[in-house]
Amino acid sequence: METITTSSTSVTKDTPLMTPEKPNEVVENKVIDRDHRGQTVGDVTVENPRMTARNVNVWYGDKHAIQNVNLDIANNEVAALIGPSGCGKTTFLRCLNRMNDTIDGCLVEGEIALDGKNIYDKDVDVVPLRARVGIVFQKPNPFPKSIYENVAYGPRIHGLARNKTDLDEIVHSSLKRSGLFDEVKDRLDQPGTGLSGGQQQRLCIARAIAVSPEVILMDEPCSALDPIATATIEELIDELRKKYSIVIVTHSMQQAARVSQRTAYFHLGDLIEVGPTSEIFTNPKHKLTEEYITGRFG
Amino acid sequence: MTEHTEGHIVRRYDGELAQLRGMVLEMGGLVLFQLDQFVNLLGNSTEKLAKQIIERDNDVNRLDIESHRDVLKLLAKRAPVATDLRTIISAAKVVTELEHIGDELVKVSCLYIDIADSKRPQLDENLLQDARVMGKMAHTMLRGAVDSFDTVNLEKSIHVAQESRELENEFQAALQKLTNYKSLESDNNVSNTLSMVLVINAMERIGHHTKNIAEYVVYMAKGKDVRHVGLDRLFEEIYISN
Amino acid sequence: MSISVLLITLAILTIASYSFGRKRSLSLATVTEKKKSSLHSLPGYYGTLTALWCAIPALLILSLWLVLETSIITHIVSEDLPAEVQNLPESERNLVINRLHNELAGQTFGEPDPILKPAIDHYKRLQQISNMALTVVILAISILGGLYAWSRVSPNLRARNHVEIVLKFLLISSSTIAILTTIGIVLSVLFEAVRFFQTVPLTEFLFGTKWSPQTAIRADQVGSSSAFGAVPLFTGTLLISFIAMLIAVPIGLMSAIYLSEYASRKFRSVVKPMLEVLAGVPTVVYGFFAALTVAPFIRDSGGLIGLSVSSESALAAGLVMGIMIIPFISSLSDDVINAVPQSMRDGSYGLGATHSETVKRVILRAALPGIVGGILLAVSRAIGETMIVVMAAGLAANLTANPLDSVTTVTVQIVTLLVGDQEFDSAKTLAAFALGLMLFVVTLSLNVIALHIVRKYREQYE
Repeated sequence: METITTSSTSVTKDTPLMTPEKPNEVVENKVIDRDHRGQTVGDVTVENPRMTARNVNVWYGDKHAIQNVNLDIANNEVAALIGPSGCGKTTFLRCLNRMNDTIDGCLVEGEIALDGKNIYDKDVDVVPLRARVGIVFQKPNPFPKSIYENVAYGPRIHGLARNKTDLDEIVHSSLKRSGLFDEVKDRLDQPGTGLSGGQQQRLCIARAIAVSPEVILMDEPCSALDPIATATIEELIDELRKKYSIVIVTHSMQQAARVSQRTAYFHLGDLIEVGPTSEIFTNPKHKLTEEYITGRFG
Repeated sequence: MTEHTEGHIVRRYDGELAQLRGMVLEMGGLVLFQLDQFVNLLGNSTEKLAKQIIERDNDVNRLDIESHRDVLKLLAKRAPVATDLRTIISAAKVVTELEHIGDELVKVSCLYIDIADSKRPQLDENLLQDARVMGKMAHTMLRGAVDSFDTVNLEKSIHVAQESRELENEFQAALQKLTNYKSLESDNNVSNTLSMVLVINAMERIGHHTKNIAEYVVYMAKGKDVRHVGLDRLFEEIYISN
Repeated sequence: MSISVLLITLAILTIASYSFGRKRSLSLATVTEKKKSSLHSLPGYYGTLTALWCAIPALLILSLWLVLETSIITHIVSEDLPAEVQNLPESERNLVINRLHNELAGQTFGEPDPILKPAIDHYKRLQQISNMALTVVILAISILGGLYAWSRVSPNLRARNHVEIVLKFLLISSSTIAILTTIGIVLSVLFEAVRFFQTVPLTEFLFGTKWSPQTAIRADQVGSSSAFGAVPLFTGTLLISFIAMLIAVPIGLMSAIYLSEYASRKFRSVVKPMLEVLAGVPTVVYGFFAALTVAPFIRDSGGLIGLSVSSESALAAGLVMGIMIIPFISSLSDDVINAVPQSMRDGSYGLGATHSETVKRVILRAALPGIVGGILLAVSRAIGETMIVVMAAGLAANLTANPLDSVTTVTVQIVTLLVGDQEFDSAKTLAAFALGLMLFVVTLSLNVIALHIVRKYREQYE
């Protein structure tokens, strides 16, 4: 393939454009060479970011799972992380609230800051951090408790409610915000595991927002759900965006296209390309991004 | 260029895209043939040629319908994104432009048959000459545009855009010439001149549609919408990396 | 032909009919163009079907024959006995017939009773006839069955379906045997217990507070008064089990939590098997330990603080039993805690819960049904345990709640009642069956409750 020729010396405003003799090679805008992967295509920064990740490297034992990733998470925005399996997108997501701490042999380097404060600093306690950066998992995992207790769990362990009335208020408003309240208001004392898959996932979202987080991480939240339940969750995500920053890992490119404002494409531990979702899905800059989202490899 | 060495994981998708492109090219071939016939028509006005052009339009229309059906099918089935999406959308647009060109040609061919039927005196060779020059230019442009779609050759696209400007100039000149035309007094000449205005106008429209086709090719390859941007910007978009 | 030879012949016939059936199916099959055989089933199924037809009817008849043979022959022979024997009362006639059987089995000495002589001859003759008839009939049925199936082999025969049906019935009958055995055990205990309750009223047994199971031979004998109040036994059992659970549940549960949640993989892989070794120690050895080490230690240390502790105490037995049960609880709990899905932990950590909060509020909660089930199984085990109690808790049926006293348990009393010479019509012996029945009812209901709890609160994890 042609190399990138960024300059175009012969093409300036003064040059008579009508002359058809070759001024230059037509520029190939897709980088293919794997050596060029290191540099992320697109703008990784945003104005006034909620979270910033700088030079993040993650190792699982000897495996270098993430290499030099820089990425900002903006306020009131859904950022989608896409990429083939094992590309490090879930790993990156779990770095954002230090869920990787629970995995043996996982080493995180670099700086991830929440509102300017590095969450990997020694003086940062992981307990309040996880209250500020909530997470929703791939499979709905309600606790074996009642619906009420599931939502009340977070407020209880963080001591957010002074009395029963407060707690009721938090539980109800969280359930309302997750769009589940009307469906379950008559059976708050019944086990959360008795709900349908989509309802369970919304319960998990309610559980996450009950501790008033600033960022919600979602790890393939709809992969175990049917299309209707998926649509409900996607609508909910769009609704939640008004109040929170959301980072979503998804295998469904259509879902990334539907719910996110910014999309980041990971490949073998590298962040290849970041850009506005509409841009990524109509005109990706990087060859790898293009090949992945058009289904040429995966 | 944007051709990928490896195809889609789903091979049928490649096949369907190739089929769509093939349909567009076939349509391009048909319209090119119509245009060629029409240029030949200008001068040795045989009714047979005109009728051929009109008949050939049935095929163009059929391909128009079929390709739109395929476009819808691809959109519904494959949810295309990025280059695939742009290819499909561009194909749909190119098809529409080609269909318009076909329609223009049918329109002027009908006009031609009318002239032949009305036993009016032959068209003035002077007028015909302008139309023929424009027709030939349009033909070259269309060939270039169809080729650029086929091979995704952006240099050809830009060439077409440049030629379109020349055709525009030619059109203006021809109009100017017609306004100053001396022999407008005779009734017959009035109607003949009107017909010629329609013919050169059609040539101009064809040139315009062809330029659009070239611009869709640029969109398909680069993801940049270069319609209504002027030649300078077009040039910039293609030659300057982002 | 003796039975064993007959069975071997039958086996050979069966194997032969398998290969015949298989061959016939192959020879009847036509192969179509697409390389597909016209047979409905694989050839092996035709062979199996033929073999089943050869073996099963023959085996059924054989077992039926063997069951009925003796009684039918005996019946025929007893019809022919001399008139004076015929006229004897029922029970004495049975005695004669018993004698006849003993003669036949060669279990008597000296000359047989002249009255029985013809009968014995008659019996032996009938037995010979029966034996020969059996051989002929069985072989005939086997061969005929095999031939029938063999003749029916055709490409259209749905051999596979037939074989599947036979297999299903085989499985059903196997499971029935297990159930019937249980019912048999219950019934045998039940009948003896009913005989006991004919002499001792149920209310006295259930509510009497004094247990001294003697049966007087003479009415004026010393200590002739006997009492069959089971309450002291059950309180003793409960006391010891309670002490045991008090030891075993916290220690077992906490070690399970440590092992599954906190311990490193390496540590766990060493310690868990070691803990399970505890379960492999024979209960007799625990008994030594209780009687020779723990009980004196408790007595001595009790003496130091001025408590009078009997040398055989409920506490000693309970402690050791608790230690014995620890691996039970820890192993079962460890398994259920490990079965709690990782996603549950992630969910809790994701909300900012600490390790211990996660264990306390989520994991134990999720594992609770399994843990309760494990505990109840351990209780059953404790109640049924005998050896430790015999050696460490003594035999005195005291009605007390003091763990420092010696007590006795149901199982221990059953053992003492049935050990040694005894007659099976005295209340003393029969009392053992009543106790057994009670014990059975208690453990059975515990198990039922355990199962119910496990089932009711089991969360549906996928």
